[in-house]
Amino acid sequence: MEARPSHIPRVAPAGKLRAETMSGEPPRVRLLVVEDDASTAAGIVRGLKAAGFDVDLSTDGGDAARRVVSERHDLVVLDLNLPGMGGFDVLETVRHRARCPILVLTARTDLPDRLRAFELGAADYLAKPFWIEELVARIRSRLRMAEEAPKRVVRWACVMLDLDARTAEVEGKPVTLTPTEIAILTFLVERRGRAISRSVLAEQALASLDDPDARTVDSHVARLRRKLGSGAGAIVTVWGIGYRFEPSPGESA
Amino acid sequence: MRLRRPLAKRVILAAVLCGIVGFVSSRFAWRAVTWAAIVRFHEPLADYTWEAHEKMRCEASPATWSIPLAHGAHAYAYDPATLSSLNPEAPPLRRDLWAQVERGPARVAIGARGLSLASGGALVHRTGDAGPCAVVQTVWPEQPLQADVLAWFPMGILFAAAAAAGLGFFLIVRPLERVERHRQELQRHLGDVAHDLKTPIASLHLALEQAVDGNRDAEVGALLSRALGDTVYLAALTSNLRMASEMREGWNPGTTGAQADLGEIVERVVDRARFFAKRRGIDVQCARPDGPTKVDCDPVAAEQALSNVVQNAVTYGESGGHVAVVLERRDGRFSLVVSDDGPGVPPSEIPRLGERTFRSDEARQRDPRGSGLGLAITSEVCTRCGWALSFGREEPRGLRVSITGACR
Repeated sequence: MEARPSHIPRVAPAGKLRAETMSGEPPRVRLLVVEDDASTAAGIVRGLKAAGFDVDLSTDGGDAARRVVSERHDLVVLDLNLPGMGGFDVLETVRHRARCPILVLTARTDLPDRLRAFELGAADYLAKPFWIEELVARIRSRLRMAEEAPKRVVRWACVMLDLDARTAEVEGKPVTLTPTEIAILTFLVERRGRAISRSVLAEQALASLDDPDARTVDSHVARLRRKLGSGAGAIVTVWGIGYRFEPSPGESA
Repeated sequence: MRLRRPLAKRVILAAVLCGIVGFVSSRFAWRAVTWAAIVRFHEPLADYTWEAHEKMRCEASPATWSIPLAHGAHAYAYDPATLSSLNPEAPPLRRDLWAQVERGPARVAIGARGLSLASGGALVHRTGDAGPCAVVQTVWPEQPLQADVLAWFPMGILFAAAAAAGLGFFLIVRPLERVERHRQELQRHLGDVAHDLKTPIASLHLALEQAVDGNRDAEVGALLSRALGDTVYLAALTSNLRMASEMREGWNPGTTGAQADLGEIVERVVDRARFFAKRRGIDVQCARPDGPTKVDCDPVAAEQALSNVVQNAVTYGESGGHVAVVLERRDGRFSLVVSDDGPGVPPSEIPRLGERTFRSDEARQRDPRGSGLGLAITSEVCTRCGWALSFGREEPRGLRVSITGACR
């Protein structure tokens, strides 16, 4: 969120702290949902359970504040508009004592409210109404946040790309990529999953040319795809924008 | 209360103007009335004095006849045939006064010099039909206003101004304030209602979303999907209503001192739009610069403005369609383009997009929901943040919405 003040430390996800189960399955993520509106609470709990989380529900601010501190959860989903002890009070009470990130959920959307929530230690903010998928995505990304830095050697399909050495191998054999092609590929791979416009690619990768024209990017990408063989599918054309590096789940490594 | 300050200045200015105009015009009116009375009184008296004493003296020596009067005034005789006097010291005959008395004897006209407020002027008296003494003009030199009149002048203005201000306050400001108070209460109420609606909409939304996903019956599925679309629309409508109510209260998202990172907002809006778009079979993608693109605008307002445009593109797009949101930054300016390959808008209606309450006929036919509030809010936020909003056609089909402005 743009409003997050820089001095507020991010709370480390507690997911890492939990021991793996004996069977070797990934540990179940346990969430605490604090929501007083019965139908909203039911919707959230069902949705989160369907997404594979263990969910505890609290409908009262005081109870929630106690459980956030004393119980072990991986993440708390906190509604701000609670009867009695409000969401801001809960945040204030558990500040510096919460063991897990708190995702604030509220119908209030004014900037001062958002800022206040972040100042009181909220890790993320979601405005009502929202998609349960959106909440799940936010929770997952919040729990994943402390994952290791992106790898510098990227493998997908039959391709291995070394971002530092700026070399590529296809089916174990080195391929010769022109500086422009390697620049385009590196730029896309480093921004995996994000669409990049032709003009930005032209600016970044064709800077050495006298006349960086957005459309020449297309011909470079076409040549690049031919050289990458079966790995070419990971460079996806994005309608109206340009390209995106997105290896399909099975071929990514 | 909010009206009192801006209106007070105007009421005071209007009151002062009323005071000056009222005082000056009352002085002219007073002069006109008094002189009419003087004329009525003077006519027989002057006739009598003339016939009894001065007629013979004038006719005996018209070239030297003149009578000195009080306050430095002098009377001279004139010939109506030549409109001049035989006495070389006589000033010219006032033509305007002569025009009033020329028809016959025993008539008097009196007049000041020009529009001057100072005392002074001339009196023309028709004494006979013809001859060098048939017209007598008395001229008295202009004299400064007397001290008491000068003292009354500003007091008169002040009094008139105070009276006008008091009247203005009771007749205009008070009733207007009452109207304004009601309007504000209504506006606040609207904002509160919009806010309170979010919780039930949220639970509806959650329930419908999961019902759609868990449903196996195609017909029921279609109904549920449509209802889910309605909640998406309702959610946007309540957010827009709340923002409209805040902006009508005078809130300006461009001057709150807050900064928004457009890059982050683009991602946030597109991420959220995807959930709805996915269900409609529409692909939404975005591209943004690596670093932040900071603009002077309240982030909530900027998000709402962009969200309205993206949601429009998703709502009116067709299954299999695309929406692309591209944010670029160059030389201290940003350009944000939202394009789609949906049905677009006829060229004749493009200039009216963004107008309050305007909705294109085609949009109305395709989907009777909607008030056109979304794009109006976007347009208002852009205006208040100093951004340029423009609409165009995407080739071969679709709409292209472009927002440009300054960034840091």
